[in-house]
Amino acid sequence: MTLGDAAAIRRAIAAREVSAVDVCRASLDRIEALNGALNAFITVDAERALRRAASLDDGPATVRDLPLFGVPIAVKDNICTRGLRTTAGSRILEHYTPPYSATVIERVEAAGAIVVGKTNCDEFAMGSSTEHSAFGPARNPWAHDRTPGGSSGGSAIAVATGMTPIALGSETGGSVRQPAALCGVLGFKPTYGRISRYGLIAFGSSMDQIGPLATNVTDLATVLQVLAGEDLRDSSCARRPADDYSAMLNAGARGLRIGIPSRILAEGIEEGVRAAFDAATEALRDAGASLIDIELPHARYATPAYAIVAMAEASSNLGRYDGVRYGHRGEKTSSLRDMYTSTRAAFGREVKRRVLLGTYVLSGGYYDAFYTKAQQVRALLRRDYETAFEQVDVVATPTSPTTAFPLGARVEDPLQMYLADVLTVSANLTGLPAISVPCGFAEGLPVGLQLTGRAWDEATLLRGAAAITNR
Amino acid sequence: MSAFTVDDVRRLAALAQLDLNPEETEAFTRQLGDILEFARQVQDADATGLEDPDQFMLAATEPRRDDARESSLPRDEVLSGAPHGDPATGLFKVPRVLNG
Repeated sequence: MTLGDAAAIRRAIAAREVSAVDVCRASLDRIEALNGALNAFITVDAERALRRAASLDDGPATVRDLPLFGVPIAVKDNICTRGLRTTAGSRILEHYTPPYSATVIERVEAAGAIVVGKTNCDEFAMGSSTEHSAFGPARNPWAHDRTPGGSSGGSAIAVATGMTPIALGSETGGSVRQPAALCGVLGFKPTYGRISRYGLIAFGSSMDQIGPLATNVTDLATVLQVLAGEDLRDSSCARRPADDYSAMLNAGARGLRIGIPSRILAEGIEEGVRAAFDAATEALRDAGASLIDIELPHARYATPAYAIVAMAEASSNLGRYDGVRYGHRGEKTSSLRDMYTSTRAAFGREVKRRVLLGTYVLSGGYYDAFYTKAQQVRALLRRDYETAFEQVDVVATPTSPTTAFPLGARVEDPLQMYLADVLTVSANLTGLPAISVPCGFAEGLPVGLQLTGRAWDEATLLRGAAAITNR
Repeated sequence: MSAFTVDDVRRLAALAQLDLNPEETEAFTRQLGDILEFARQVQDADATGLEDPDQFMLAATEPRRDDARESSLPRDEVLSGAPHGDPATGLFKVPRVLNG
C-alpha cells in the first residue's frame, strides 16, 4: 500500500479498510527502501513501532477518534524519546537513550501517532544542510547530489518521500522552514512559547522551538493542534490555550493583506526562486489578497545578530557535555580537565566553531559590543514587524534565497552556510510564527514561500498557506 | 580589531575546555575572524531610544506553580546513562577533583 496523508490514513483506519499495523508496516517498508540512498533516519525501531500499532488496533473503539490515530510520525533526533536512542546527530550522544520523553512525544502519542524513528540532523541542530551530522549527510530526494537543507533535513526528507506523512523538527534559525522549502513540503515554526520544549535538546534557548512538517495544510493544522498549549515542565511555554487551527483553512485569500519587503528582496535571491515567489504572490492577489510594499529597516542586521545570539547560547548550553551524567566520556581521565577535553573531542567542527565564537562574544570586553548589541537588534526587529503589522496581516518572502545547494559546497565555508538562513532567522530572533509553503519549482527543485505573522496568530498563517496551496 | 590569531583561538579553546588539533586551530583562526567581522555589523544598528533590551521576549515569566516538591524521575533511571555511574548506589565516578 501507499501511504496517503495523515487525514487519509486516519479515515482509512476508522473505516477499517486498513489496520494501524498495515499502515505502520507500509511506512517502515518505504523507509527501508529509500533510507539507504537518502540517510534520512539515524534510528528506526520497527519492532517498537509495530508493537505500538498492534496495541492501537487492539485498543478500545473510542481511541479510533484520536486526531492522529495510527499515523506514523518521524521525529528529529534532538527530541527525547523514552527508551529510543536520541543522538542529536552527535557522537557525544551516540549511545544515549533518554529516561523520559519530550512533552511533544507524549502529546502525539496520546493523540494516537506512532513514532517510527529518529531523523538525521546537523549536530545539535547547528547547520543548514544536514551535513554536520556525525551519522553522515542526508540527501535531497529531488537531487541526490544536493543537500535537503537543515538542520531538520531528515524530517523534511521523510515527509517529502512519503516515508511518514508528518514529522517533527526543531528550529533555532530556520531549521524546519528551510529544509521544508528545499524538499518541497510545509514546515511551521509557531510563536516562541506556543509548544513545549521539555525534552528538546537545547541549542539556542531564547530561539529554540519545535515545529511540525507535513504535505498539506490540514495535516499541519491537526498536528499543531495536538502540540500546542501550556506545559508546566517548560517555563518558556506560554500560559495560553491553543486556538482552533483548522477554523480558517477555507477562508481563502480574499481580504488578506500581504506585506512584501521588496527592498530586502532586491538582491541575493536566485532568479528562479524570485520568479516562483512572484508568481505565487500574484496568484494570491488575483484571488483577492492585497500586496503591500513594506519596510523592515533592521532586517539586514538579522543574520549577524542571529549568529551572535545562537553561538553565545550554544556555548552555554553545550557546557553540560562533560562526560559525567550521560553521553560519551573521553579516554583521558587523569584529571577533571582531561576528562572534559577528551570528552568534547567527540564534538564535530561546526559545534566547536560555535562554542568558540560563543565563548568569545560572551567574554569580558566583547560582551557589550556583540551580545548586548545583538539583543538590541532583536528589539529593533520586533519593532519593525510591529510597525508592518499595523498595515498588513502577514509578511511574505521566499523561505530560502536559493534552491537546494550541492553537497559539500558550503560545509567548510561557515559564513555561506549561515547566509542560507538569511530570510528565516528574523522569526526566531523576534519569536514570531512563520511557515514555509511550497510555491513552485526552479530548474526542477522546489521553492518555498514564507509567511511571517503576528505573535500567537498561527491561524492566519495557516489560512494564508492554504490559500497558496489551493491557488 | 586586528585579525584573529592562532593564540586567540588557543586562548578561547582553553576557556571553553576544548582541545583542538593543529589543523582545526589553523582553520578556525581564519574562519572565526571572518565570522566575527560579519557579526560586527550589528554595531551599525542605531539602538537610540531602546530602553529595555529584553523587550523582544514574548513568553510570560510569572511563576506557574507553588514552590513545592514534586515527583521526579527515578534515580536509577536517571543514572543509567552516566558513563561511570552506579545506579544501585546512586553515585558516579569522576577523576580526582582535588590534588594531594
